[in-house]
This record gives sequence, structure tokens and C-alpha cells, in this order.
Amino acid sequence: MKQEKLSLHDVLIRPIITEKALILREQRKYVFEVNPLANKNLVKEAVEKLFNVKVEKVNILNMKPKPKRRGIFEGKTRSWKKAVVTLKEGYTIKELEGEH
Amino acid sequence: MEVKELERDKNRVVLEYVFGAEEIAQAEDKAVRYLNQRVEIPGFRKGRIPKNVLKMKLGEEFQEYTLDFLMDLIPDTLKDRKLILSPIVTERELKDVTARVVVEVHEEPEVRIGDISKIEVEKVDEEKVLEKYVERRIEDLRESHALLEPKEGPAEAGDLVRVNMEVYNEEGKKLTSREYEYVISEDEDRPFVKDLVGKKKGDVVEIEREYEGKKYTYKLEVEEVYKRTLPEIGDELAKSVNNEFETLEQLKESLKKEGKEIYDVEMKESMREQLLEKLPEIVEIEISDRTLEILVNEAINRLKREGRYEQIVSSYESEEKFREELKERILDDIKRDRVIEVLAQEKGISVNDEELEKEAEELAPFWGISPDRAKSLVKARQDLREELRWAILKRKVLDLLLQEVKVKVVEPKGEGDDSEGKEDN
Repeated sequence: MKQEKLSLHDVLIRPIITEKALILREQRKYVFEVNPLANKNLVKEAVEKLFNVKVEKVNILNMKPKPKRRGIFEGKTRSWKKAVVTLKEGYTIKELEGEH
Repeated sequence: MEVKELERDKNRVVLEYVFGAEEIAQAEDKAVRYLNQRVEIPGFRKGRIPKNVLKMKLGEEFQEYTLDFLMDLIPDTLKDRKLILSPIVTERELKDVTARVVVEVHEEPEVRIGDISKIEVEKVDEEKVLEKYVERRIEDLRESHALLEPKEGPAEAGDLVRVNMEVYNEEGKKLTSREYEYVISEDEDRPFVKDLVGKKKGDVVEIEREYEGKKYTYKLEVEEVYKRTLPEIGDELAKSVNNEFETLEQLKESLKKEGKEIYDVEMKESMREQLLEKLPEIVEIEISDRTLEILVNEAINRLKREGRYEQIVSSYESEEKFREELKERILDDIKRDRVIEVLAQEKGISVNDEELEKEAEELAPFWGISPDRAKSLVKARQDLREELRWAILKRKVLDLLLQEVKVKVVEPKGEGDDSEGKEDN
């Protein structure tokens, strides 16, 4: 199956802001939900272009769906792709620092 | 924090508070601590949400909380001002590293007290009041010491009738049975009693009455009719009232003393009330229209909440008229309160714990509790203590002022003409 190339704006879906993600930021690691079709290179390119920073490395995790039950209905959460982006020393993503 | 007076209109002051970066940071920290106990954001454990995330997620709401905590610093700055109303916040904004809050405060208005001696209060002629009191008490004593003689004939004016009253319901069931005694008066028109006129011992009167849709039968059986003979006013009456009295004069003297005690208390209270009523006439006050407008609105809202507004307004020509009168009344009340406060301060009048306890003891019977309970209640409840303190303070100041007012002696009401009284003091 041929995959169409993703535009850079479609790669990053949202930053993940959780307690754990904020702890990682102290190590210059930023967590994003990314397009399921994205790969490490695309994520790196997207972060570098959109936030004007240099990326040291990207780790990608495929998050598995979790079973969920609501009353008599059984189901599962959606699967999604998580990217942990480590920036090179001296860089931060100001847009995500909550300085509004 | 910088405080600036922006505007002053008599007792109304508009103050501007400007807060610096350090105070804002402290308020933000307080807001973070406060919100962390109440807000839940997915991905964060309760109480672990950082300031930036809260700012980002709550936006303006976070600013409002920060401003709330900044405003906690304001009351301390107002401690030295005596306020008649709670401070009103008219503007508040938080921008970057500065915050600005504008507060309208209404201080207790200044008063100028005029010449107290221009106030005139009325005092009912003591001699005449006591004379009437003694007369009335002697009549009462004659009535209560009347000689009773059973009679066979019909009951007439002046007689005492003893009846047994039984009450039956619609089904004929007896509900109560009780003995009553009535003295029949001239032109008797009391219900039940008027039906006893002309009845003899052994006669039975049946009366039907309807209460709340139910019929009741009242059966009055005349048990005895007594002819009453009132004792003559003289030494014998005095002796029968109390063994200690030998003559009528002694009884009259004792009654006069009793009456004087009542007169003194009541007349003092009446003079205080008159003085309080007239006090606003000699007082000039520096009060802003805005203060009065707020007080009038508060009073109207209170009446509306209690559901009494419509009824009260209906007795006035228009709502406007009612507002005007309410305004006058509030203004007079403020004048009175301010005069009491100012004079108490000027003359060094205060209320101590001992006086509060004594007042509580005196009020205990009216509250339906024991004196000890009343004392502990006053000790425990600050609102009650404050209420009593104010009542005592008011009394003390008024008593002092009563020494300076003009007193006009007048005839007792309902007797003689309304001729000018003689002036005293």
C-alpha cells in the first residue's frame, strides 16, 4: 500500500500535558501525540520547523488500546502514536511552557 | 501595594490599589494551592498541577482567583476607617505584572451636633398622675375586697356569677368542663357573659358557636349568684388590704410610693424616646447621596426578600414617595446613631462587662431563661453582647442629654384640656 507523504502540519496532533510529561521536560524531553503514519524523521522535521529548535533524538511508542467498560457496554480506547522528542542542549519549546 | 485616593464626596471615598509583581506572584501561589484542592485535570494527580498548566487551562478564571487573593490584602488597609457599608469593588484588572483594584468605601459620616437645649420633651405632671394612680388602685382594691352574699334573684349589673361551662362538639361529646366567675358590668356586652344577665342559680344557658367550620355547644350552668358589696373607702379598707396599715392615709402613701416607682421608670423611658425622636432636628450630617441610595436599595431589597415590599408600598401614593420617606428615615437613624457614638466618645462613656451582665440578668425573664443562662449567653454570643452594649450606651448618652433639654410639664392624657404646660428646667 502506497502511503501519501504527510505535510509537516499534520504530523503533530497535540502536546501531551501530564504530570509525567512535565517531569520529562526538565530533561528537555517533549511528549506529543503524533499522526499514526508519522515516523521519527517526520516528527523530528516537524518539531524543528514548527518550533524553531534542534532535535537530538525521537522515540516513538505505539500506544495500545485499553479495554474500557461502561455499565453493560464493553469496548476499548483508541490506539495512538506517542513521540518523545529530546531537544539538543540549550533549546526549549517556548510555546509549550505555559507562558501565555 | 500603592493606595491612592481617587475621589472623595463627603463620606464616600474611591480608593485605587495597585499591586506589584511580588504581591501578584504570592497571590498566584495562593490561587495554585487553592485550585489544586478543587480542580482536576486529566494527566495530573490531585494537588500536583503546576501554575503554568493551571494558567493555561483556566485562563481568565485563574486571573480572577489571583485577584481574589490580592483583594484579601485590602481589608487590613481599611482597619482605621470606620465604615457604614461594606467596601464595594468597582473595577479590577490584572495585566502582566500589575494589578489594579478600585474600591468605593463609605465611611461613617461626620456630624455637627447643634444646641441640645433647643429640644423640648414632654413630661406628664407627676402629682396628677400619682393622684389618678392611687384613685384607680383603691378602686381595684375595693373590687378585689368586695363582700360576697349569695342571692336568689336574677343576676344584674354589679353581681358576681359563678358558672360551670361545659363544651360539647357536634357529636355531643363533652370536650371540657371548667368553672368561671364573672362580674356583670353596666351595659354588659361580652360574649357569654351578656347571656348570664337575668339568670338565677340553677339556670342553664346553651350557646352555639362555629369555629373553623365546626359547631360547638357551650352549656353554662349558673352555680351561684352573689351580690357584691364594695367596702367603703376608709381606714377599714386599708386594714383589710394589709394588717400593717392602720389608716387610709397609710394605704394611700404606700400606693403613691408604688406608683412613683412605675412613673419614674416609664417617664424616663418616654423622655428618652422623645429625645431620640427629635435628636435629628439639631444634627447636620455630611453624607453622600450615593451612600443613602445604597442604604435605601438595601432596605428595599430586604423588604422584597421578606415579601413585605408590595404591602408596604401600597399604603403610599407611589413607590417614589415610599423611597423618599425611607431615605428620610434612614438618614434620621444614621444621625441618631452617630450622635450617640460621637457623644459617647467625647464624654468618655463606655459599657463594661459588669453592666452587660446586669442587663442580661434584667432581661432574662423577658427571654424566658434563667439569669445565669442569660449571662452565659451574652458572654458566648458577640452579636448579642454588641446589641446590649449599644442599648446601654444609648441609654447612658440619652440620660446625659436629658439634663440639657427643655422639659414641658403636661396634663395626663384623657383628662383636662390640652392647655400649654408650665416649663421646667
